[in-house]
Amino acid sequence: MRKTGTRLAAWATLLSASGAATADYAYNLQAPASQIARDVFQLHNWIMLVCLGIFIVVFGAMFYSLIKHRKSVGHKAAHFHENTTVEVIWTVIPFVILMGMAYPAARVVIDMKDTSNPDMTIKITGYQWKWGYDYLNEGVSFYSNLSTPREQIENTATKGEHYLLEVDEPMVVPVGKRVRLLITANDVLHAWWVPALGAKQDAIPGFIRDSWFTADKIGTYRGQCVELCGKDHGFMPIVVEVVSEEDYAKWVAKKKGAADVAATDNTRTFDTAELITRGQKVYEANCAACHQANGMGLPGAFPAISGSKVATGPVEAHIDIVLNGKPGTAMAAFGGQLSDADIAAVVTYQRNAWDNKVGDAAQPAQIAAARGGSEAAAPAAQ
Amino acid sequence: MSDAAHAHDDHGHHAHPTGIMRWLTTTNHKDIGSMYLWFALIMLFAAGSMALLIRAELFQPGMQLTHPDFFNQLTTMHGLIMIFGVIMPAFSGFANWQVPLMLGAPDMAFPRMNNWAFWILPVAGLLLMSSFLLPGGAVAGGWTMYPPLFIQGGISYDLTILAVHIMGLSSIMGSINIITTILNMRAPGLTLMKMPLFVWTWLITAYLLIATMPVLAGAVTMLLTDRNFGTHFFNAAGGGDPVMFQHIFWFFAHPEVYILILPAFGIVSQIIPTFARKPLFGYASMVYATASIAILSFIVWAHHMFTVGMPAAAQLFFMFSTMLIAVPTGVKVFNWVATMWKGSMTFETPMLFAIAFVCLFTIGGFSGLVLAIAPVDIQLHDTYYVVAHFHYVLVSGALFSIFAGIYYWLPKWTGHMYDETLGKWHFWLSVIGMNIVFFPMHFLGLAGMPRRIPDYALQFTEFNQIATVGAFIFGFSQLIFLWVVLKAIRGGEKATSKVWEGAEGLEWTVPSPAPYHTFETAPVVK
Amino acid sequence: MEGVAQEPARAFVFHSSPRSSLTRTQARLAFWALAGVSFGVAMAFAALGYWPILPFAGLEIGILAWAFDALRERERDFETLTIDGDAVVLEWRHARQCGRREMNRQWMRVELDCAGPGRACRLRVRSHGRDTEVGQFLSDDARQQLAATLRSKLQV
Repeated sequence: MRKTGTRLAAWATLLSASGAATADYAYNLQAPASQIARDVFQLHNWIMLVCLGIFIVVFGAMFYSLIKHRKSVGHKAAHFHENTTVEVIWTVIPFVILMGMAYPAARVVIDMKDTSNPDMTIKITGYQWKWGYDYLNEGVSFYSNLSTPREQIENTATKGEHYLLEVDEPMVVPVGKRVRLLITANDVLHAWWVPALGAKQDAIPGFIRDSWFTADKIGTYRGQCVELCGKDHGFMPIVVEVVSEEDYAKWVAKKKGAADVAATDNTRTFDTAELITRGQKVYEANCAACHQANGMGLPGAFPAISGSKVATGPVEAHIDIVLNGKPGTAMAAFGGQLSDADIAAVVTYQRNAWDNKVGDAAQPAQIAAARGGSEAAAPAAQ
Repeated sequence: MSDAAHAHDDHGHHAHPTGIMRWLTTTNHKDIGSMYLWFALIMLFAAGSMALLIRAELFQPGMQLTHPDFFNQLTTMHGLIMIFGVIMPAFSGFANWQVPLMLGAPDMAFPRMNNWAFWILPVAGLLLMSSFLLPGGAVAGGWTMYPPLFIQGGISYDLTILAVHIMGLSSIMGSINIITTILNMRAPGLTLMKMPLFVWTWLITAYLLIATMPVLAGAVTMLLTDRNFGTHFFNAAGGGDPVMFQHIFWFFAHPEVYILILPAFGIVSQIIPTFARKPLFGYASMVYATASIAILSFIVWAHHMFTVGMPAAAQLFFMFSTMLIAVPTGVKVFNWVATMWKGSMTFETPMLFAIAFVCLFTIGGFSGLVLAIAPVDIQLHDTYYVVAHFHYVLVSGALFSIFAGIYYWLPKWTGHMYDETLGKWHFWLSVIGMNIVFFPMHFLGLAGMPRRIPDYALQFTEFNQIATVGAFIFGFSQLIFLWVVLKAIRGGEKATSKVWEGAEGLEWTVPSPAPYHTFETAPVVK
Repeated sequence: MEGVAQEPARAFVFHSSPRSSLTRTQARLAFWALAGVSFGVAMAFAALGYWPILPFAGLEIGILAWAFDALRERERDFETLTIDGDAVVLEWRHARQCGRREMNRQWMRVELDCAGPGRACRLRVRSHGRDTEVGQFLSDDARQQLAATLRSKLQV
């Protein structure tokens, strides 16, 4: 059984691969780039082949009957309506076929769940609506946002090649290394999926689940969030850059340098103009999805910031809501996501943009004080 | 009402009440059946319009017609209304009309409760639909209502919970009525194993409803208290578990999936023998297959959640149990084909829809088998492949069986034959349109397009455009259906008592249209 | 619901009772098969801490119990109307109440009231200013037929 199964699967793979060479895999799963993805690909082909066979036999019989046994060609109805032997046969045969599917499938299930002995571990956190990556071995951390400009989404600019599948900071991994993923979420359910790598795992707030992959080839692999997570569910892609080991080492060094700059930022004092410029960038990456670029929000769903009591009232309350969020609503606690400098910048920007002409500024030191050095610890980098 | 009071004077005329009050207070199973079916038809057009708006937005990449949040409202409401407002009420309509006729009973066991079960349904429908007008819009968290996203929403989320409660209560009352009618009001001699298969499938469906509805009611109540009263059933920060909601929800919703398809099996099993002019092959095995599907439906729920990260042993268990369902389902398909085999077939509209059902439902069954394989499911979970799968099962499965049943029994209900030419137009446009919409979705899912997204990457464009074209063909051809039904009600060729040459069963022994009250004295089944 | 009219030599007897194809044992089995699963499932979830399913299961089992109880009650219901010469005897059991009434054929009136829209007609016999409902287990058509039959019997 198993031998035939594997042989047929291999044959099916060949068949679809030749057809796919021209069609760019549009009729089958994406070209696999890891062992697991390849196993799934073959498993799927094998099952499709079996289904196709059954379909042809059963519906061949049905269509033969539809053509031959019709009243208009003068066929007289037979009167049989029971046959135990036949019933037993067509209960047992499907059962046997199913076992031929279950065995190879079970092997892949066990492979997929085996996350032991990783070469490296990355913690992935889903946020509304971006991904956060923490490289637990290297100490590198960053967020990954959609980088497709709003104009392309709103049809005022030509769409790029990787429309909606491009990010500002891709996840980078070395080729051929066994990467263990620890996946969780900050707010609602998300799901991390890169089809070519064969890794998909729901991101569940309060729980950490794991998955793994070993990328075969250097290249860029793209995926998306696949669990409905609110308004911008369709706008939080995943990009994984698989690079050589040397390139990976260079990338890690570069990220560490950037983290040092970010750390010094948290301790210095900015002038208001500098904060506003920086704050606008932070706002567009983190706040504009809900509160909109013009600060007007969406009535009924997301409140306006322009003219709001919070953004024009005491700065402490404003900092508090950005740091700690508003429980029971979509307003997340950004204390864990943004650095002191970024929070200071975005608060300052919100207090001085649009109709809000408060004129004051928040400094990183104030944010650090508001954190109180306790639970809302600042993230390591960014 | 003086007419009615004098009805006894001239025996021929049985006057009965007219006007809106007749419909509000009627306890007659035929009136209630008709109302269920009309309600389902209206909701079909409402939720169908939402589907067309969804497909129009997805015609090309970029946001054109909707806002992402409104798009989520559309997909959520489309799902909720199609399931709870169209398929379930339509099947209840068939049950109300046909079960008493098929059993030779004068009415349902609890006519007053039957009236309540129907009339709370439009209230729930109105609550759901009106939530579009509330601040923040309608519910947008998906018909599966997963927390914590569902906890974030506005007032319309609470209204939706209320509506789900009302629809659940309606289903409970309807099911208890159907079960007691079937068990207690059979004509003398009509033993369980002589009942028409449609009655059997509804008996099992009602059982599933009664077994699982409290679970849904409890699940949405816990959402409500988590939202408003500070409980933490599904909040990890408070010691709860968001995944547990999915377990509870799918413990209800997988049997629910069969609630949406078992009566379809029943309808098709009535129609195929009629037009093959040959008794149903393997009646007993059909009954056992239906029962096995129902029993298995309680132990497969977690195959909807292979990506939540369960242990390998759990994945294997749910994978194997799910694959097992293919066996009784296969038996059913084989029996239908064997019923056609060596028959003397004609192809009126009900038969065409029934054949399309067997063929296309099987495609949905095969994609279901593909999705049962846990590793493949993990690749395809929450992609358009799943969307294709359940639309093959629910559109070419449940909905086509409803069309088939309407065409089949409409002459009995109205006393007039429907327009066969228009019926055939409706069939061919529906079956072609339906395949154009949903077949390309398999490829979209395989290529990696997630479901529930308002905008997509460029490589998905062509298949989405094809699907949208198909959706409009499919959607607008339903207007033909509406026209056929209205035409048959208003007049047309008189139907005979038997209607179809090959028809068998008690319902074909009463005149067409079935008189307002049938079977005053119980017929005897030999 | 069956009604059987018998006309031996002189007496006219009309007996009717509700349809019941379920024996006591079968009814009990059906009830427990339904209630047992509902309750078992609810208890299992309650054991995991998700208790709000339990009250809904309880509510449902309550409705089920009421329904099956109503069926069992109905089983013993009957109605017999005997017209023997001028003596009219009506005996019934309905909604847990037994009753018997004797009337004189000469003083009896038959009233058929179909006033409630969508509701079943009500058939009553009246004598000495007192109404008694008859034909409660019949369908509307059967009730109207019975009314006509009774009227013709009274005229003789």
